[in-house]
Amino acid sequence: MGRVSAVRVVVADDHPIWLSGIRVDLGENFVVVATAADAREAVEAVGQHQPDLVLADLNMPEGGGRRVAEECGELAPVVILTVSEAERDVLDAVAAGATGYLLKSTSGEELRSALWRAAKGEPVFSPSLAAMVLTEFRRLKQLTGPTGGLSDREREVLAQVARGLSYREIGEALFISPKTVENHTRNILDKLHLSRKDELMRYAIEHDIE
Amino acid sequence: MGPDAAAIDRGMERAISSFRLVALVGAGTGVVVERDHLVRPWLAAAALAAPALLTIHLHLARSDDRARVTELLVFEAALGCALLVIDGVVYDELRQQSLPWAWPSAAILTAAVLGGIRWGLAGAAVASAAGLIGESLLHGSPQWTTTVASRSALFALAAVVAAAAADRLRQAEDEMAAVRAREEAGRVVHDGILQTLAAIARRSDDDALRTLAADTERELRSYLVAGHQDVDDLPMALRAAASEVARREAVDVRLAVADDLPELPPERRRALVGAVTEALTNAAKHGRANRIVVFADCTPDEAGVTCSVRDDGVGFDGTSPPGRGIERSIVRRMSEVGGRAEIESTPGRGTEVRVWVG
Repeated sequence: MGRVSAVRVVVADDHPIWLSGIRVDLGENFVVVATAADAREAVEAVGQHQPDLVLADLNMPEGGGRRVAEECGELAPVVILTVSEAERDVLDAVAAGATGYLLKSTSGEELRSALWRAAKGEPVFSPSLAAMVLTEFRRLKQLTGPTGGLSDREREVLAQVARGLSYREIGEALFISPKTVENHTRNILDKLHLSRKDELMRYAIEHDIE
Repeated sequence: MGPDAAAIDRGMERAISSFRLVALVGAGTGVVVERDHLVRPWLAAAALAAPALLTIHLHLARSDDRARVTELLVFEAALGCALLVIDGVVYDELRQQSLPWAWPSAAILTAAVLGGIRWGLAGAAVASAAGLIGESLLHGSPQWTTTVASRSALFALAAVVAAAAADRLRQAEDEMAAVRAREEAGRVVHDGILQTLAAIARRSDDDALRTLAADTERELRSYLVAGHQDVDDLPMALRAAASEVARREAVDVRLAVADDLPELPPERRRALVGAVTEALTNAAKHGRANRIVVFADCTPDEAGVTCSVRDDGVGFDGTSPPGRGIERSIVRRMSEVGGRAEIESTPGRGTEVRVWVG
């Protein structure tokens, strides 16, 4: 990591103690180019600074991490930070365009390595996110039929992530390379984002929203 | 009394008010139907005017002032008793329906709702006595007729049922209020205190302070979850089990639970949660794990649940699982409810326990 230029980050959180803490935790490979105290400020900051990575708290004023993911997900990888895994809002934010989420209790080293990979476009998948995504695709399948759903291999990969296996371990179990596993998770996330957009569009058409 | 408890009382009051109106119409109809048996028609008409006015007043002007409500109740009860007595002097002995009909019951219902079973039964007793006097006047001598007996029984029944119903409604409302209060507390704790604790647990250089913050965070979380423990909900039960083991064994437990799990019969749910708890405890105690992941998902046919408990501990060689409890408490527990269990481990690479139940 050392030689490569630092990742430029926008951090959005309405808890000041957290904002100042995360700067310290990110270390020298990351530069915080802007901070924001709510979703609106975060979206503005992303437009202005065009960062390599956005860190957004799930629960913030003005629309929370979900809004940041929705409006900035295509400009930069958005990682949602949350204190608890057991929230459906997490899935909504990820489906809206975030690249994954991290628990705020994630230790410094794990946090830095996950964010470094996120900045390169790798999804940040935790077991609980994998379980939520599995459920979401089952729900979608019932709504829209098998089109746009997951392939058997993708479902298999998700189930392994949910069991707590690393990409390397999954690769060993499925006789594929860790890189291929990573590609699967990226495709899964892309499908999730697309399905959510489809859903919004269908909703708009059905309810005659221009 | 919270705003919703007041709403429940208002609802019951409205129901009684409607009943009173219907009873008034019934009493009026009764006088018309029984007109041939009236010996004092003008007294009957005059006697019904007072309850008509009171019924309309009670229906239109609802009061939240308890003293005023009690006053009106006493007046209504007195009026009901008066009608039951007057019944004995306005009709001849051949009348089928009493003058006030069911109207006095409204006062008994109100008494039972306001003051519980005692007030209700007291009202029923007074009304029964008035009914006995009326019936005696009608027949010219004290008489314990079937009319008196069945009417007294109905009054008492109304009191008991109304008091019990009001009690149950208020109790349900209290429980709802407790759940809401806990949720509200949960939100406050979640948005504020847990955030701060998480920040301390990560930022502080002081090991003791970090441990304290992490422990407090876990305890708060399990407190928030505890309110749901008696709920027949598999994800909640798994969450409670995970946070309990995490707290007791100081191990990091991550949960990955699909949120469309099918509902399981209670004994299967208990077996599954019991097996998972056992697997978690084993992983922490004998496996010396740092992190355990619990994954719960639907079985492929979506009718059952499969659960995996995977740790990063020391593992074992497959022939001698540490902790003899595994065989007994996991495998047998699952097979007793028609489920299955499978344990897989490699030395140095952790252990995974998988359980299924239909």
